[in-house]
Amino acid sequence: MKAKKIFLFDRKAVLLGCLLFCTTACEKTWIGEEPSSDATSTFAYLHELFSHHYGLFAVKQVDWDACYEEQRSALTPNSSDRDLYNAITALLTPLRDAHITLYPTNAADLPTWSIDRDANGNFVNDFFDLKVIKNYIPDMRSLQNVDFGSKNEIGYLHIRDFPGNSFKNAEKALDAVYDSLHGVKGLIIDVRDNPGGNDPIAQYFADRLATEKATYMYTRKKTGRTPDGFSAWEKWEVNPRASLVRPIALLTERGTQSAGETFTLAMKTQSNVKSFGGTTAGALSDNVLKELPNGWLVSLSVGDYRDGQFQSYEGLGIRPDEPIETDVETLKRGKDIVLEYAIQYLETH
Amino acid sequence: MKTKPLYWIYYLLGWLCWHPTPVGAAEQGNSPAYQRQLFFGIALGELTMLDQGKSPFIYFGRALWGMHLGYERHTGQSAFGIAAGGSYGSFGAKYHPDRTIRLSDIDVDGQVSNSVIPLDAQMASARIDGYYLRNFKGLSSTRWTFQVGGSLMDEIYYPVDNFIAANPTNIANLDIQGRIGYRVAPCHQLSLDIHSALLAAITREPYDGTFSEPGKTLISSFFSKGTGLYSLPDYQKIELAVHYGFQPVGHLAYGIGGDWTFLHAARPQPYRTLNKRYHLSVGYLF
Repeated sequence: MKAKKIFLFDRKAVLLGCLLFCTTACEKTWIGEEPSSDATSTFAYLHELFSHHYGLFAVKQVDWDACYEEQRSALTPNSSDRDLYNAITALLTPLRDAHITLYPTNAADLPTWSIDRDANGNFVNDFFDLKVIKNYIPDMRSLQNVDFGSKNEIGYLHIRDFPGNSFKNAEKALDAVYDSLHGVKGLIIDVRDNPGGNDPIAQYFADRLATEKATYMYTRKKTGRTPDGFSAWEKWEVNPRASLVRPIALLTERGTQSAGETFTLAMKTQSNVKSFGGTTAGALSDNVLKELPNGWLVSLSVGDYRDGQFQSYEGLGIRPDEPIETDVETLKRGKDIVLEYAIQYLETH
Repeated sequence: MKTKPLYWIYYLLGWLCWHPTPVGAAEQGNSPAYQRQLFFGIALGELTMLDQGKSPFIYFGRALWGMHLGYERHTGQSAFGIAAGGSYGSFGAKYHPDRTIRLSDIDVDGQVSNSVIPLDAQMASARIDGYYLRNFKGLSSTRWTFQVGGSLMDEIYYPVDNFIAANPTNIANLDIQGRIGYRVAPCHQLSLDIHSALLAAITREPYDGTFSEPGKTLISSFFSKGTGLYSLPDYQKIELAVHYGFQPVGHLAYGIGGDWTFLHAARPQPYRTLNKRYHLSVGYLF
């Protein structure tokens, strides 16, 4: 009898022990610990993060470890946020990558940093203003992520970005564009302030606007820390679905980024397309947002994107067929010189 | 620590059964009668997560409120159950709360537009699971029942806002499951369920963190590129669930309980979660 009681007590104890263990088990035992958040640890974490995930060291011919060693000497564990910010931005600057952005989330006096932002962290849009476009195309309509209209048989299509998880919105927008612009003799496609979005959506837009099948891009992504740790090359093709063949003027600028640039690559494979304006941002790859141990955020390019001939434009940008200088003062006066060139080109072709 | 007081409130508010025990049947001895039960419950949970491929931070679902609906069938020899439920609550870096991200642009006229976006977000999750258990006849007695079998579970976590260092994750598990039941008193039954994963299909962010493939939407790429099959030693999942069931009279049964799940996927980079849920339920016995 005594033995039975002991046996029952033991089993209850096991049950209670399990319950107690489950509900109060130390989080660190199961989940692990966060790394130290001091300046040198954060800097080392960033170096390791880029070593694992950044896809463009070889393309940009940057010796990442040497750059890290050079900047690391300026830091101690007690260095200020400002010192850490300066060291990180000095480390990242040689990568010349507009897809790298540093967000000092908990340091109010430190601005967001990227090579295409000013000292206050602002991205300056001095190359495009939709209000000015309306001086030339007064009957502009907007639907989803596109603005479109026509004047004197010249169609105008402004693609703001390539967002979304499905092709349905893109299909709806482009159906409306085709309904509206089917009679035009030439089309302006404007991606000058297009910060990007999803490459497959950009590919869908290109398919609907193109008339010739072509391979326009090869991409691969980082799969490990080693320099050759990449996935296999993936081929991107334009599969034309345009209903009409017409001359197209493609407008680009440094505000044409990411998927805006992969769209540009796709359209530049077409013999009826001529591009005008400025060189694009040179940040084609997908980028991802990561966190640093001190709470800051950093985005970085994880891919290696090339055109159909394996030429890289990362950090360089895609030059237009016809570069046109413009300035903010002209734009403020209500004139869009790039658009005027495009209209003139289409009127004579 | 900011969230510590809430932790104990969970104990007071929670404790309900994910699998309410058919105490009316258990009362009858070591050979329970055929019985069916439909049950509904509410739950409060917390999710702790570390995704080293995405962030060095421990992320925390502070108060994930949920509800579930299920069906159970017991015979003298076996038990079968199926349940579905969901939860929703706040989610953010556990030790770095209240962070914000500032985005600013300056337009052609020099006007600066600033937007401040909170980094804490919301987390929704949905879960469906089913199990089948057979009695260990030799071990069962009037007070104790021992059962073993398998279960299938699918659970999806979906962070609702952007700028959060987590992406949607879907986890489908094939588990081996054991259950120990103990009749505390007439109409009162305690049970302990133990699960361990044999095989899992996990869909989450791949190593490169992106979902763009030619001709594919984000969602189709998420499933095709982000799905991997896992088993030991790359994957471990242990789930323990404790339930207390009470059937005072008639067709109604009540339950309280809690479950605790630890999951570790070693690739592409370590991903660990610790999930605690506390439940209250009411069941209708047919």
